[in-house]
Amino acid sequence: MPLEASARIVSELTSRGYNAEREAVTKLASADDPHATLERVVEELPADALVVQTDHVEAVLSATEADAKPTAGGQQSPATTENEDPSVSTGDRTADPTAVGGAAPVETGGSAGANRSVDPELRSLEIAGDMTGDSTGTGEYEDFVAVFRDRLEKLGSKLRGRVNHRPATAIQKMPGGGEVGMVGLVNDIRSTASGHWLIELEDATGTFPWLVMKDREYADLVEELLCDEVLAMEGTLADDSGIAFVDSMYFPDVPRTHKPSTADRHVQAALISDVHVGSQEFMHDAWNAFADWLHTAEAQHVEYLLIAGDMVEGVGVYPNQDEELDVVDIYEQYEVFNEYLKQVPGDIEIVMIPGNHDAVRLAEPQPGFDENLREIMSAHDSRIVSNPSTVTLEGVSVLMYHGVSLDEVIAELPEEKASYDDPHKAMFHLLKKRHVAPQFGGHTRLAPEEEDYLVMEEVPDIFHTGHVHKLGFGKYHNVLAINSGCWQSQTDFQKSVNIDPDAGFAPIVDLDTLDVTVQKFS
Amino acid sequence: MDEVDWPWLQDLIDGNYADDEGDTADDGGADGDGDETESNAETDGSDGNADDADDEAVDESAGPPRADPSAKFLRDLIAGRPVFSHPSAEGGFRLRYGRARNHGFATGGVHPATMHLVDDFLATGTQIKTERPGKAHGVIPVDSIDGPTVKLANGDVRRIDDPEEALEIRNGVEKILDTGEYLVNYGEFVENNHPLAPASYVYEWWIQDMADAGADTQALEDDPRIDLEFPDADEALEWATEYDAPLHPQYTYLWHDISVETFCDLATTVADGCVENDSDGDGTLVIEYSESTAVALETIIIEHRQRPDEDRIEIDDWRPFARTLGCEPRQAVTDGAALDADGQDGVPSVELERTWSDGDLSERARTWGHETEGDNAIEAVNEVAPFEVRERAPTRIGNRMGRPEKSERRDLSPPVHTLFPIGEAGGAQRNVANAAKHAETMSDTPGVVEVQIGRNRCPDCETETFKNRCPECEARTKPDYRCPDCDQRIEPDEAGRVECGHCEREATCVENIDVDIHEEYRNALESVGERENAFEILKGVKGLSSNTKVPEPIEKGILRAKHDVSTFKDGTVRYDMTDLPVTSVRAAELDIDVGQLQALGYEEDMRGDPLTHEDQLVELKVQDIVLSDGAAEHMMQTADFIDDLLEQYYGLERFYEIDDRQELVGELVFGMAPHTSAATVGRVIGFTSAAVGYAHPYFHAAKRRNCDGDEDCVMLLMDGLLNFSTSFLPDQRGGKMDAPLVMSSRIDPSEIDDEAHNMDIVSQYPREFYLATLEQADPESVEIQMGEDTLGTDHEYTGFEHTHDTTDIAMGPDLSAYKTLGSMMDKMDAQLELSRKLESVDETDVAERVIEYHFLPDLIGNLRAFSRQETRCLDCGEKFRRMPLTGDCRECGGRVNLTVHKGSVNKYMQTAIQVADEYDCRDYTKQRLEVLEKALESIFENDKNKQSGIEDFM
Repeated sequence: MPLEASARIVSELTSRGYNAEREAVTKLASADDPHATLERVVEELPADALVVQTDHVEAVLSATEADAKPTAGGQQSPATTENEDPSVSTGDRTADPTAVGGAAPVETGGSAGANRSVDPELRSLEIAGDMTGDSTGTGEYEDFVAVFRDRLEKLGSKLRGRVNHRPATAIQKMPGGGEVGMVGLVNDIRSTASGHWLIELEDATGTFPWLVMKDREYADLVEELLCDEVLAMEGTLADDSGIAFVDSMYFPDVPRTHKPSTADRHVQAALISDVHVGSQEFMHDAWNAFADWLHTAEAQHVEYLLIAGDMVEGVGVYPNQDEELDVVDIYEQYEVFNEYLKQVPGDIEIVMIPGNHDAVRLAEPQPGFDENLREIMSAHDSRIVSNPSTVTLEGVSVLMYHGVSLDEVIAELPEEKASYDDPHKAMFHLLKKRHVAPQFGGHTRLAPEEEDYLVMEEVPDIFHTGHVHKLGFGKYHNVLAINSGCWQSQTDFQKSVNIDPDAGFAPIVDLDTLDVTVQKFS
Repeated sequence: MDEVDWPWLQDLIDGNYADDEGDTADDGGADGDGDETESNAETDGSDGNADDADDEAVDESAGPPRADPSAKFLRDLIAGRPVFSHPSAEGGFRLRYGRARNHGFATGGVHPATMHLVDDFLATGTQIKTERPGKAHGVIPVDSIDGPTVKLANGDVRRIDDPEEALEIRNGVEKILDTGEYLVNYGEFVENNHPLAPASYVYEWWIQDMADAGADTQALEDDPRIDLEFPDADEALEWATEYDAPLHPQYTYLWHDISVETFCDLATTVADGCVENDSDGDGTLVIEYSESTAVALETIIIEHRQRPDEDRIEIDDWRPFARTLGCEPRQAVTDGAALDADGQDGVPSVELERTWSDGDLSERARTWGHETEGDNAIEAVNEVAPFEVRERAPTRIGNRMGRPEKSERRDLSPPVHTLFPIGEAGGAQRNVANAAKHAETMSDTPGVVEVQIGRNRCPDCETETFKNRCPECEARTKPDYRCPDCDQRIEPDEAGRVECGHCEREATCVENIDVDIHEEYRNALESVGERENAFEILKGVKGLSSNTKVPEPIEKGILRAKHDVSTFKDGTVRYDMTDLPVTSVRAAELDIDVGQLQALGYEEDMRGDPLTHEDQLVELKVQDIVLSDGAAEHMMQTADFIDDLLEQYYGLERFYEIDDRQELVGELVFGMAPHTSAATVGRVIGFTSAAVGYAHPYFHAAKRRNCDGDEDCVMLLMDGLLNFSTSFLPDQRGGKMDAPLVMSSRIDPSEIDDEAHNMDIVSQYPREFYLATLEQADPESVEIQMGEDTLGTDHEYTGFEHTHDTTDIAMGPDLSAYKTLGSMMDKMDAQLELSRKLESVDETDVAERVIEYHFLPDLIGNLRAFSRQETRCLDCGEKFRRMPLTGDCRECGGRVNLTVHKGSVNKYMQTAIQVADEYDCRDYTKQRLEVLEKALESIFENDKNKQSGIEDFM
């Protein structure tokens, strides 16, 4: 989502005398036609309103969507238009499940057994941070610089209030002995001969070295640090003022007081990833069992399915991959995946992001699939967005990220802090750093865009990743971190490096309580 | 022919041969109606399985002996280095056993005509990766083996045995049907412990078959009217029938490469043909043209002329061919004089009669085959032909180009004339003249540069200097070691260690001092009496890397620069050449005369006759070496440098005085291999236009080299003695390598690498050997005299006989096309073009491999590098792990830029896509490229401002 759009919306609203909630602006900006939506929102605003609130925008948006749906051929609308009044005010009404089941088209319909609510008015699904079609970077040096500056800007704003910060060049000129603070990107981490740590912070003016003494409490945190994450430090300048001794260190972090939003009703989402269709190891039986289960009464509250990348096994991901492919043709892989997708009840909303095996660029952020592949995967009208993207389900925001950087976090951090056995603990670190892939130049690849899409500007309620093929979940400052397992049994490669994947599991999240239950299908 | 046509090969390599058969069956069936399809598929499928099972059974019991194909050599194919033959592919190099005189170990003989026809990609010394027996061979030209067979654009199919002819017809070549023979010596198989592969039927074997059948071969050999190796067709037939020996190899065609069915069809076609102009017995067989007949004739590589427009194919020397097919010239015609009249009327004078029908063939002959039943007609041939016919080429050897040959001066980069330190003052070129004028700031004295240099002291007058001779009293100086802590002078102990007993620190003689380069340079010019215009540029070094940091006198550099030679890190001037072996030579090919040979101690030729003629073959003495033209040129320059050095610097007499390169003959050189520290003394015997260093295999082995494309250097002996010093050698691990620390003046054959002993030294392999190859016997089980058998005897330096001669040790192109073609793209285009021309090469597979091993790794690697790259300051060169947030260089404020740009990432993208398309690569490969292309687009193009090409406006 381009920044200018938001800025334009805000100035437009201001010119009409309205203030606006941040969320509302985001929603407006991500609407199909922000301008028209804005007009309608302003029209519908209560006369006494001074602030445009999120509900106002949502109301207009859902009305528009309901209007638009029949023509767009969406899966749930034929049922709803027949049976229900598409008016905004029917939000709290329970749908008649039997009527819906009967009226649903054959290939997309919900199963009778599931008794699933298909009332679109109860549902809401919004996307933020999707950069598909907005890849404006052209791979120039300036693009890279802009991304890192944007990172410092966005994450620095979360830290500047906490320390009395000065630019690096100003600190360099300060007299020795004083107290000083700085916000910047970690440029370098070195251990000194005497076992202390030297951390170089960089801001838009230059760099300054900070020394963490090995016996200070923060010394332990040093081993959690990754290059290029944003930090704030406070400390005392040395006498020659060439270096500062760290007294305290701050991460952008998730506030301890963070209260996650929850859905207003009992509704569930299945969070999966790494399907790897086309691989000889793809577990069709497990997938079929999963799809069958979604048709049962037990799964009646599962109304959303989120897939965090690696839909297919891909081509050319590693040398001689063709010898291990069940489906060698990449397009056929997506066609087969589409067939598997069809087994999912048509009344479940699906959101997908690409992963490192998918046929998009490997560098992050990865845009959603191109038109050709979307066409192939069109059977189930899924939302295909970029990696990472934030999808908000009935108020619960889910940050979806494929998880390539987890490899790096696990490799760089000591085993007790992050390991493949507890992938969610590695995710906690990313939440703490408020960035999905901080370190540049290592494992993770970066494509420079006009802003840093990899920053977690807003705290998500759920952080969903995959990639490492291990199942793990836990809460960090009330944010639920889930790493889904996979649908691919152990490969020869995994065997050779002694990785035992968690295959054939589907973690199900209650969106009203953020509780997790794991369904096993293998 | 379709059954034995190309596609099976790649499937075999991929290991999905059986799968593909199923596919073909399905494809075939799809044309018919539904029911048939099913039944066809079923029967074909089951047949296929049965075939497979039968094949295995045949392999174990009765099938033709074949070595298993191995595709290993094709791995990591490089763009621009062509494949000459896929593994064991028809049309590829036919294995012939023997050792040519320029054969030793790790070499393979190729006909010079083939070298030209493969678009000059092969030259003497070019390395090729081979399927067997070893991994790699150095290519040597041998013209006493079969040359290539080609189909010309005019429809002629000809065997080319003359390199000149190859050059003449090269532009008209439509297809290279056969790349000719490939000569490998028996010792190669011993060295690689490779089971003997079935031998081609060749002259050497045939003549022994004849003798075995009771012919007086000596009498035949002595008969001046008979060319035993290339006899007339009638003679060949006569011997075959008279002695009951197999048909002469020159008239034995590649029957094993056509199927029994094709063989029967061919017999029918030939029987329907007629003979024209046979009045004197050498008429032309004319048969009806059809595509399948043409393909069959091309497969068995018989010379003929295809005239599709006139609906005829003409074959000269047709009798052995027709008789092999079981077609007899009609009795009435051959002896009926009356019928000659008919001939004059334009009616064919000779007609052919097929003496057998398809049903006459035995079950065994009909099902004889290797891959599939009945794909090998050799048994059928033997049943219908009135004489025995052996398999002409049962073993084909796949190979591809490895490294190109080398004959180049060894220059450091940038080249160095003198090992004198000038720091950064000489600029990137390390120009001493510039350093002599250099001043960092306005207040500095020009030419005074601070360098790290060894401090020496004169033992007599205590003068401190960095020079070897005291400037005051000319005495030899010694390194002046001092403790870095207490500045006390330390003398080295017996072990050469210099430790301060006081401070327990190692003393050093290295210090940073200001050296007046200007003065040193001027003095040096003056001392050798040279002016600055004697040379273009004099290059020094940035700093010294040796322990004591002793600089070389600039004078030496001045003289090197004058003669355009540069020094290696140890002070010597070197020339690199690819090693090739040779055991006997002719004066004529070495550009020397008999007198020169005699002066070197060569008195008689190989046969013991007195040496009188330039064409006589003499056995090479083990320490004599042949220089390439370039090496000779470079040696002459070095000799001039040495002479000047002796006269102008040391004040001694000139030593070499060489005006003409002939005067180099007899001079001694050092031969030395990389990673070794022993030089072997050699003597120059002559010169060759090939870009290689020919020498006795024992000489190469003494340097610890084999000849599969290895290269090493020669230097002039006097240069090594005068200018080499261990004090120049880097003070680090491996620093002492590649320097002539010791010298061996005499080669003891028992002390060299055993590899060289595994070289056969006989003039003929026995008949038992050839028969053993058909059993694929262990090479050790055959008795052939080897080098190791004569070790320690009086004959250890002599008696290296060979089985094959070659006209000249430098035939074929002097340089591989790989070196003469300019860009990588040109090379790759030529490589793919050649792959289309060669029958033995599957061009799609080559294209796949070039994409797979060259383009894709390049694209993927660069794309990965792009998205995690370092950046560098354009002004000061400072590197940053990540782009600085300031945008500018943190060190100097200069402009910072990427190290990996869009251009370097996608430079091969379009070419790769084009090649994949043009050569019909697999969808898998094409899709990988597609995905990559989209990734590049996504990264380098603005979604909202797509770059438009000019076609958008057309």
